[in-house]
Amino acid sequence: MSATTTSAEAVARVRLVRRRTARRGRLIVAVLTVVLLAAFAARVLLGDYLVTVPDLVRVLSGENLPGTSFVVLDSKLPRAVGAVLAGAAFGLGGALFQTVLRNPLASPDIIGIGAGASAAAVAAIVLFGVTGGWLAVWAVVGALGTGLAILLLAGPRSGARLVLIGVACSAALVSVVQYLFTRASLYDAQEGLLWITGSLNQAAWPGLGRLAVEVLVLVAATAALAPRLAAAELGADSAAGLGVPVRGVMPLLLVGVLLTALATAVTGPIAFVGLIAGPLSRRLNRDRVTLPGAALVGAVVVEISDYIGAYAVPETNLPVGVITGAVGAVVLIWLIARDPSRRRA
Amino acid sequence: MTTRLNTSRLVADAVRLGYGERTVVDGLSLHVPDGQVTAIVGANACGKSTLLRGMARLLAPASGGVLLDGELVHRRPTREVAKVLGLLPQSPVTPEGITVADLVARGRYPHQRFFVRRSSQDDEAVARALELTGTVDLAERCVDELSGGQRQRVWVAMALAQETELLLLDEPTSYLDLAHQVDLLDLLHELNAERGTTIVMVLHELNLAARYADRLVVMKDGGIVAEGPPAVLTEQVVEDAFGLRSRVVPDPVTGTPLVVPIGRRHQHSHQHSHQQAHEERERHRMIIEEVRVARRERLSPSFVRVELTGQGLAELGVDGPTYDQRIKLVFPGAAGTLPRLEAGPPGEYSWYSDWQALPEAERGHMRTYTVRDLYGSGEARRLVVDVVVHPAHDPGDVGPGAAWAEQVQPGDAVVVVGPKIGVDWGGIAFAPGTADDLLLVGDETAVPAVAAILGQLPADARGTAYLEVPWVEDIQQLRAPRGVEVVWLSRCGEAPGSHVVPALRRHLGLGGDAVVERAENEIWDEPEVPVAAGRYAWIAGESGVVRTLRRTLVSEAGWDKGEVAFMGYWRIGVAMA
Ligand SMILES: Cc1cc2nc3c(=O)[nH]c(=O)nc-3n(C[C@H](O)[C@H](O)[C@H](O)COP(=O)(O)OP(=O)(O)OC[C@H]3O[C@@H](n4cnc5c(N)ncnc54)[C@H](O)[C@@H]3O)c2cc1C
Repeated sequence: MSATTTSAEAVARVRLVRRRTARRGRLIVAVLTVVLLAAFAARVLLGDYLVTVPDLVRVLSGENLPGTSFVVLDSKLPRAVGAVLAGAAFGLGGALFQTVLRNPLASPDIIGIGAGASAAAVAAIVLFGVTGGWLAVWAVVGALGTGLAILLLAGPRSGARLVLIGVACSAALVSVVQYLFTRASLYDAQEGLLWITGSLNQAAWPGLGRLAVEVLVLVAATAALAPRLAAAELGADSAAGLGVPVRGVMPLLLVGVLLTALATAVTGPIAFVGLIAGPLSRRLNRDRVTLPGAALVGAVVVEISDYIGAYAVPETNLPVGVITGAVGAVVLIWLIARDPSRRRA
Repeated sequence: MTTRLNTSRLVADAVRLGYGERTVVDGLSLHVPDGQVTAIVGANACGKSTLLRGMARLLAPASGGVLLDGELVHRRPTREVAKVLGLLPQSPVTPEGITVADLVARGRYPHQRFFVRRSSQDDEAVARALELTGTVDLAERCVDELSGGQRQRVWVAMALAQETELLLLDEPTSYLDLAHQVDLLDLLHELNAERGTTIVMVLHELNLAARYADRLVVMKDGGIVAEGPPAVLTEQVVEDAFGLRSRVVPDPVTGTPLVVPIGRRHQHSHQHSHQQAHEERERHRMIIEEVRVARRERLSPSFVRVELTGQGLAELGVDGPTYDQRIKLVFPGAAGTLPRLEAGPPGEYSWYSDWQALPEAERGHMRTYTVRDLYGSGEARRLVVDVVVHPAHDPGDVGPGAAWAEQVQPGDAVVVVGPKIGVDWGGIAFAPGTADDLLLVGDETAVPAVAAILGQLPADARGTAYLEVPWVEDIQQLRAPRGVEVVWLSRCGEAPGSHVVPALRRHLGLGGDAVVERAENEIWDEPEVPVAAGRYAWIAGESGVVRTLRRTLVSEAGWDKGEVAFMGYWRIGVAMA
């Protein structure tokens, strides 16, 4: 141990390390933003119906090009924007849960918030014949209700407990959904099935505008609450010692539930995005949590998955949830396999 | 004894704490003395961690209250509390992939304002915390990669970055090996000494607790069994709190209580073999003897030389040079009699707690001195002590040691507590190892020690000694190796340290001046023997001066802490045993 470091040197060293951490965070955000823009552009310009950049500019500046205008404004663009918003919301919501509860499995889609939305939406379709905007309201209420119920049952202290209770709730809700299907007409069943798989087919402007505002507000709330997250990461006791008691992290979980619920209302539960965005963004950031990273990874994953879903199989338009479900399952297995060896006391 | 005004910012007032239905701590009250180190000990599940959690506001009391600066801690805004009261919990969670600097910076949370995440103040606090814990060199490392000892230091640093005046720690040494335990406790001790931080820690290791705490709180079944200076740790208390029979003997290194468990396996033989008991007693014993003054000589205005003689001195001493060997003298108290320290039921060898248990008037006064010389053998053995007679600051505050030396007559009795030949009792701080460049610095109370050290060093030793005494007449003729330069400084009525501090700065080639600090606590640190040949400094005297000197050496001149032994022998305005 060299005891001769002067204070000024030590300060400079601390500053250097902390700057480096911050700079790496910014770099990751920048790179992911570029990737997202690329995916976004691909989604809008490429595919079965090619759009040239000049055409796109003309359409966006209000010119009416027969055919192109419709495809861009009513199909490609809303889907691409919806993918960004929903992906970011799922990714951020998932990362919030995982970080606060210090458990990579504790993401809203595993613990049944998606299932809650599904159960409510399917019930609305099958039992009451609800469609359109009201379906979203049902879904939000279902997701919020499930989220709050699980938080109340488990308490925010232990991630493991919450995961167990959440998985149980999720299973119960899935069986509710299945029961509802047995009573549904063929048409309703198909409608419901599409909804619970999660897809961007219904993405349309008024709904997306609302979602954009909601996501922005919730992102701002997350930014304001983020310092608490830094304390919460050190364990409940340390956090309380620093002045962030257990009840102080509840708002963060609430934001997570809201993000997931509101996005689900628009797109249905897109499987596994909330689960994998956090861990993937961590891998990029040398294992450090990065909330902006998680949001961007979520957006990229949904954007690319939707593109693949739309064009991978000719003549078929697979819902985005099918693709994320398949990819997510692999990531989940990888996460579980890798977890024990990485964890140290 | 130390007359210190004991105030408490943190108070537990008849608290009842528990989890759900289960009450763990019931109606317990505790005043945490400011500026001191308090250790809470007790058997598993006695409620010690629960008590700490209650005081740290992690657990709300079912009844009673925890007061911080007179206000209920649970009622105060928790973030405001976090600026005053820091906590290191038992098992904090290390976020994956975090660097040391980033982790420590999390301790700044209570001080950060909305959206102003990283200020230069924060960076400075983080750097200070890293320096205090000796972890600057780890700043960019990943916490996951560190060893257990390093990691624990980093966590302490994170609690320090919070810059609170009170710090609570829940078993900070668990999971550490012995060397790292001692290392960490040294660190906490230093923190307490240098920053005056009030420390409360739950500790598992009784003997370390007794050694490092100013105050012990022994708990059992959610209540307090004993509370007070480490000497409260008696065999009876150990039995009450832990259900364990033991011997409590003075720690050979520090003199604090050392608990030696007996256990079932050894109980039988212990109880029944008188011979064994006697042998054990012999082994642990030091000399505690009543002796007589043979001669008293006034050396100069500030020094009186006292020579002691008596049968009991025959075995006093150490194998090898005595250097700054310390002993204790016990003078008669108000009752005019000396305590009989050996008396007591057989099997009770804890002389210090025996002594403390005596009524004030019979106890006399105990003070620490240095063996200036030890000569003669058998019945003619003499112990020479040079006692500083210092001016009384006010008539009520005359030092008993100085007063005794002023009026003592040949034939008067005094009790000597000291090492017994062949027993490694400790009590020598001077340990230069293989260092070949010595620096000895002290005031008048350290003159006897420096004189003895210089007289016993090998002839080829090299170095410098600075001695500050009150008056020119106090300068003595010392025997010293040729290579050691002895510089005397007389302060002629000025404040202690006023001459020796500038002299040392000149010696080190440092410009400017240093303000002599006032010490809030006793300070004492004997580093381990330096491994490499090199320099070694030994500093003793008034605690504030010693602190200033040490800071000059370590912080300004860049000496390694391991190269500097520093000992506060006395403290302005405070009576010391
Ligand atoms: C390891 C060790 C070795 C020591 N060796 C020696 C030794 O060889 N000879 C020796 O004389 N002392 C020695 N001391 C110091 C001695 O123990 C203290 O000086 C002692 O506290 C003085 O006792 P006292 O009863 O005279 O005064 P105390 O009761 O301790 O103090 C009464 C008042 O007098 C003040 N006071 C104490 N000392 C001085 C002083 N020197 N000048 C001005 N004011 C003072 C105090 O601040 C206090 O206000 C040693 C101390 C230690 C720890």
